[in-house]
Amino acid sequence: MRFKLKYKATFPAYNKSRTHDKAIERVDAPAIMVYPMSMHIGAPAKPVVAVGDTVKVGTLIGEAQGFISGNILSSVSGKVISIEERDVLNGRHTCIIVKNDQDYIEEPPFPEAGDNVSPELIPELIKRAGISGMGGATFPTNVKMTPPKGKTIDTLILNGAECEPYSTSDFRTMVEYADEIIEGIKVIDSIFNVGKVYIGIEDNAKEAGEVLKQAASGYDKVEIKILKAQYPQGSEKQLIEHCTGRQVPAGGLPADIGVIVSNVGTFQQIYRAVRLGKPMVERVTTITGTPLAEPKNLLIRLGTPIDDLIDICGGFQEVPRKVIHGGPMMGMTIKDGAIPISKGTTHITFFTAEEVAEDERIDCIRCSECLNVCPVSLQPILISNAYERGDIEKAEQLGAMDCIECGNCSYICPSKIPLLENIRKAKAAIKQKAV
Amino acid sequence: MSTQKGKTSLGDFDLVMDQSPHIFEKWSSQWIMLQVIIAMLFPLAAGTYFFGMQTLWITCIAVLTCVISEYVYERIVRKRMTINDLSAVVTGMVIGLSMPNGVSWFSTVLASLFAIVIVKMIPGGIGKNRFNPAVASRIMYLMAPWIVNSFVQGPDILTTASSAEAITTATPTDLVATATPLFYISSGATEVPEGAQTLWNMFLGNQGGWGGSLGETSSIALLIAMAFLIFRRIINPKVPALYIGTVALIMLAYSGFDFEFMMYHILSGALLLGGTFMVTDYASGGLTPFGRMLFPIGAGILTAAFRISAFSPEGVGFSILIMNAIIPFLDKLVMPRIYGHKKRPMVHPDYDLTEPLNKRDILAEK
Repeated sequence: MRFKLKYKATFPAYNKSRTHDKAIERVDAPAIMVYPMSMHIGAPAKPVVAVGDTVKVGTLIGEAQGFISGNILSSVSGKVISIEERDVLNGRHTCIIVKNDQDYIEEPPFPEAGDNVSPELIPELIKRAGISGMGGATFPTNVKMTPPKGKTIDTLILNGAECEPYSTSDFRTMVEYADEIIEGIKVIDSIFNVGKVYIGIEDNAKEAGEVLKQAASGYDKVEIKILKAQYPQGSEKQLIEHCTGRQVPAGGLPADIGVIVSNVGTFQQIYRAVRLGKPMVERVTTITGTPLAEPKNLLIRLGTPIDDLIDICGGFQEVPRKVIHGGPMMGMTIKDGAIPISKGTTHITFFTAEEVAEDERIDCIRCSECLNVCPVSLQPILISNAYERGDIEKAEQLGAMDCIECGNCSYICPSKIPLLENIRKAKAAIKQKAV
Repeated sequence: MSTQKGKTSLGDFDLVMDQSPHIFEKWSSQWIMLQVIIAMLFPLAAGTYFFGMQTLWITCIAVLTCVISEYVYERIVRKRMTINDLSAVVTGMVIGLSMPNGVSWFSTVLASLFAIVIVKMIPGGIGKNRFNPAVASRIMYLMAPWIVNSFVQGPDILTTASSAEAITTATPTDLVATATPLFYISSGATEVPEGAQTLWNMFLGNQGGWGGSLGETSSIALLIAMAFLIFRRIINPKVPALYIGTVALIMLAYSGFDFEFMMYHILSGALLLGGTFMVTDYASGGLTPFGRMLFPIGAGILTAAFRISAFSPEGVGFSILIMNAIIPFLDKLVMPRIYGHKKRPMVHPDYDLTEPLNKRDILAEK
């Protein structure tokens, strides 16, 4: 039972039941693989192979450029057949196209990897393995694990709060790779020697908490934090607040308050890179939605085009009308089936025409629900009003730049006002003004 | 590229592209208004039971006048038609339920026209009206004879035409409240005198043809309506609780902890009607979470003050109108502190919080 109160969250239908109990299935990579140089947030990588080159599983094909950037590695063995500009998720970027020879010949593991890697070398191995945050934001993990000098990290938070509707990839990863995740924590703990490790899990995924608790038995720093299933529970700032009671200062980083947060899957990759010397070449992604006959949790090689996954999931039982890279709250729509599974592809959601809402906007009735649901306590309608009045300065004063773009305000608005769209525009206008 | 035969490809489908979020709460402003309408059926039924068919009749007239006047106004000024949002129906119903026993159809029409045209539509329509239209018209109805008498000498037209039924030509002090239970306990009384209605009768609404306006006679009907709105997630339960609680506390202290006196105040007059349908109004209430709490507390203090002082009738209506006037300023002082910030955001007291009528899109303009 819920009342009209300030929950700072919404409670959308999670729709996870169709894939909740489906074990992760490994799928074969198709003949043609696509590697955008922008699989992470920050500067795109630079291609270091040429057309005609032979690559193996784990061969560096794109090199990180600048501080916030990531390496791109081949996830199959074969031949580079093209290097071209393509429209991918986050704009037009260089993509390396590899023809898969289906032999999966692997590069040798990193020679430094093993059970006793010195703490200084760990971020380097993470970088070499091409690991980026797997929760969707794809922040380069080596950068995150190298906090600015003078910052003491006392708390590590694993983000297992999978609050985007439809997604079960983190849940399955926690259930099936619990041991590797716990080993990943130990790797990072050897750098910071933290006082506390929280694993944040929503109360609809308690089974994962049980499995992780078992895996972490004897490792007393780890606490499984069962949180209410609400959106956006898995947002970094909200997770920190709900686990530790601390708030990240405006414009600051979690490291400023001694915290590092990373997705559970990322810790699995850290374990594999640092202990086994293996690069990040695959991830668990949920392919789901009403149009699909058999939604699944798949272990997919990075670079696999989305078109190659539809038939694996039984094809379409209903005509799709919208395809979302990610979930319905924050995901981006795509049209082009050649766009590949990337480091941050938690799930792909397909919608039928009936599921695509087309409601007409009407006047604001001042129900103030957008203020009730905003996780960062903004007043979305006032920022939207300021933008529509042409008052960018006021939008800034009201905190437009603090918006985390979770979408709760637009989700809840009974008058269907495009609040987040207006806030995004206000942010863009503020940035233009600053330049 | 790798086009095998029979392979499913996204390119074969007509796909839409747009911004997140892609799902929405399954409700609408219209649905919210419909819930309020359903809630008002409880006091409407009680009023019809105790006062006869006039309750239904008067409420229908008020609703029709509100909807038609909004329609005509929007046609004349060529504004987008908004009668489908059902807010005019809600206003009409509150007006109908606020009318006194024996009111004429003509005064009901005048009160409804005033609410929609002057209070709601001229400031810009739904969400832009500073004052609650129904409450403003309730007060206007009360004050009209007095205002007209101040300007026109001799036999007054409006009183005879509109409100002679319920309102004497005397002073405004004994207009609506005359012979209602509230009469017994207001204006300086600190205990319930002999001859007043029993609490039980006031709770049920069986007040022998007394009991103030058509919709406020039965406390139980109003409490059911309030519970309905709370459980349908339409009104914040804290708002009526703070309003009624504030009045109750002040009355308890004022009477030297006379519990019966306090209960009498809760069950009489428009307190429950106001607590359910008036202080909870979206457009004229607080916007910020804290402002929304200040509104009922302030209205409660004022209501108690009006009831204790000699100027007792319509304490509920006057207190809500006063809070309507000052809440936009209070809201600006108590804007919520943004995550990670130390101070609240501040805007100038003059800053207009309402949705602009002419919407701009700066990015597109560039």
